[in-house]
Amino acid sequence: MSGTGKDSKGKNVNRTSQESSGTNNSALTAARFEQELKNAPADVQEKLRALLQQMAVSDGSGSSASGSGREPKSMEEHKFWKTQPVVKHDEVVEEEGPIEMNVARDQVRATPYPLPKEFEWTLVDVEDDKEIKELYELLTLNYVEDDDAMFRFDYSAEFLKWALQPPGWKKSWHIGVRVASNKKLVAFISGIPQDLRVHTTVKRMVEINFLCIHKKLRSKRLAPVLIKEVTRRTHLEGIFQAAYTAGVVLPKPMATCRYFHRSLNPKKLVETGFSHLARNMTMARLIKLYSLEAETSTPGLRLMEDKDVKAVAALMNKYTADFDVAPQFEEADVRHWLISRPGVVWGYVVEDPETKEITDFFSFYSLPSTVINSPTHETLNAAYSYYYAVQTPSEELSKIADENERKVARANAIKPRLVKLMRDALILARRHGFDVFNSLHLMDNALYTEELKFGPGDGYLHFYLYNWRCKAVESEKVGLVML
Amino acid sequence: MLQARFDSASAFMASAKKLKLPSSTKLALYADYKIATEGLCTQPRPSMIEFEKSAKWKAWTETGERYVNELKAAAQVATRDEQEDAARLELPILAMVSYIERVEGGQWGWKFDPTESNAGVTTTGDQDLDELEAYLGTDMDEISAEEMLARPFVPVEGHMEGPATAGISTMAFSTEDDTGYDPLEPAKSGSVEALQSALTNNPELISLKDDMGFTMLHWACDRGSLEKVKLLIETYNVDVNVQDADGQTPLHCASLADWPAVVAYLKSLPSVDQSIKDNSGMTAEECLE
Repeated sequence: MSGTGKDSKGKNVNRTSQESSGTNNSALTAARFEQELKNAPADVQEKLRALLQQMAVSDGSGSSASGSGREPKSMEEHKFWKTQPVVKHDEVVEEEGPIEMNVARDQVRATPYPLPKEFEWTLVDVEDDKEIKELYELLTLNYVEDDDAMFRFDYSAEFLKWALQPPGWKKSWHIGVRVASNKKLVAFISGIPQDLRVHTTVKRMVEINFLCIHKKLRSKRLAPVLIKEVTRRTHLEGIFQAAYTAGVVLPKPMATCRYFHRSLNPKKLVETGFSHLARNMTMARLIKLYSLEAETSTPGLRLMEDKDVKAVAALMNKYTADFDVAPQFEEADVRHWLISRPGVVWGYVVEDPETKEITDFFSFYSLPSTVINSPTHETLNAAYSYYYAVQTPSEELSKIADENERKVARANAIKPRLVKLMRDALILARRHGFDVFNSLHLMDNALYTEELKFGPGDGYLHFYLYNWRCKAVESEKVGLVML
Repeated sequence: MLQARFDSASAFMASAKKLKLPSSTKLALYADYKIATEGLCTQPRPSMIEFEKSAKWKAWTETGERYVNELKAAAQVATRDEQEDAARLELPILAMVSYIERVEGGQWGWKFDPTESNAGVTTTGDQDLDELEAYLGTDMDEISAEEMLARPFVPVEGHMEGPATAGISTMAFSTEDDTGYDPLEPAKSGSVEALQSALTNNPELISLKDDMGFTMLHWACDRGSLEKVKLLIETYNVDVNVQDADGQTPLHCASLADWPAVVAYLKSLPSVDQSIKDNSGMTAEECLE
């Protein structure tokens, strides 16, 4: 934890244009920058994004030097990724497809990769309360932090069960490492199966998530062996492509999306250091600025039920067809991922009061963060925007020949509805006790964030494919949300 | 057999860190070891100021070149390509032999025991696995996992932590439009002590208003710092009923920003006039409705 980070930030910073009383030059610059980005060729865009991100980092009052994530990548990491079937940083993808050929099952290494002798492999049984608790503790104490080590993700045990047991889940993909002598769980990596469409190709892939190594054992260099082992086990199941996300830049992002944050409890966000008051911004005005109506406004809005699954699956697959990368949800996936689970995920549908048809849906999930070393607050309750769908007039849009015109027409057609729905999502999230509502700038999220007073975050999420060459995807063409 | 002897010798050297060897000997051993295990040096030249790295790089590179030339000259084949091939195949063998000779010749106490040969590190022939072993390392000095877990946490820089790091985004901020001196700053943020010393240095600050008509007391009430509010009122006797450009008092500020402790404190003071209305005609109490 940086000694200077909090003080220097707390003193005089201004985080969103709405919070600023005067003109916010940097927000304007960033907006203009984003505009420039959109007009640039894809590879230039990526470089500019990286630059923008670096600027965002260096903006962080230099305190990021103490953070864990943004150090220059180590030789080991570089050496490791060099051997993996991933797109190289300087590579321009002309044709999409696998990087390595599939391997016949009897050609896949039959035994687990050897660990250093003091460790042993284990499977974490997520249906066993004791083991899920061990996993929860490993992640809570050692998983992702922000750059200043002020917050750390705090996935709940219920959340982990939800995340790790979708339809088709495999026990052999919940891979742990224990210290041989005392059986302590010190590392974890997981995969879940998911049909993913990348441009026009639909592939059975594995989504890799929750790679975590005990922070005191980072020097044991276990990450590469965990990655190799989960790869081996997906090969054994006949799957050769994977999708994963990371806050860090690895070879090579398929897409990069910025986080946006909507304050629901601005005072707590300021007190925990999540956001900051501009010099001439008063707390009183800040509270007023982010106040929301008590009731939702969309007629027919209600929690999603099992009977809605079919309609929601149809809505979702129609809506996500507009994106370049999107999961293909079967009804079982919709049932698993989008029906509300207490404290984990909330799914809402809009049922037309007259026709009784399901016209839209949205969802968000809960991912709290532990507030590290705060005297007043233990937990920051964050809701994350998840999947949603609104009606798109696809037929009319398809008649517009010019791509840009079509894009504008599409945005105009869905924006008012989307803003209305997401305002209701904010109201519901606040009612459920969330302090902040987070959205990545993927899907059509950029259409509602400004109007609903989201502010840009200092974080970006990079999307990666393993063993699949893919042309760069614009952030608003990403239709995949990973937990 | 050669491999086993080499493994034994290198394991011995790795464990014999107490030997005080001249650096020229250490570099020669290093070069032979690297060529035996990794072949010719392909790493980029380190910067000149990294003395140790530069010396190692130089030893590895130059020894490799020398061996290749020796092997080419010795190869009993005609074409240049065949010479290259022979050199490439025999290079690690030459390096291993040279390494073992050095360890034997140094008389540092190593003796080859054929029965231990199975315990040594051998290459598996599985490229994936060899790669992995290279990452995992076989440094004998490393502390055990159990011991590491027992120690207090010290961040390790530069080690791979997997794709999951740097994940939590917080609100981005910029300092661009907040530059320059703000005399009321100590009331808004920072410690009570800092406020006190600012007031000691410049007593006029207690009645200074900014362009919104806010005094230090307004700001301290808005930010909810009971300690600062008390300091300003009890030590510096600031005007508790001062109104800003909108007619709001410090009590309005504390009420609107919802700081119950500050509101309760202000209301407990007889000098605080709770009936003062702001420009929209509302008392602090009424503002909340």
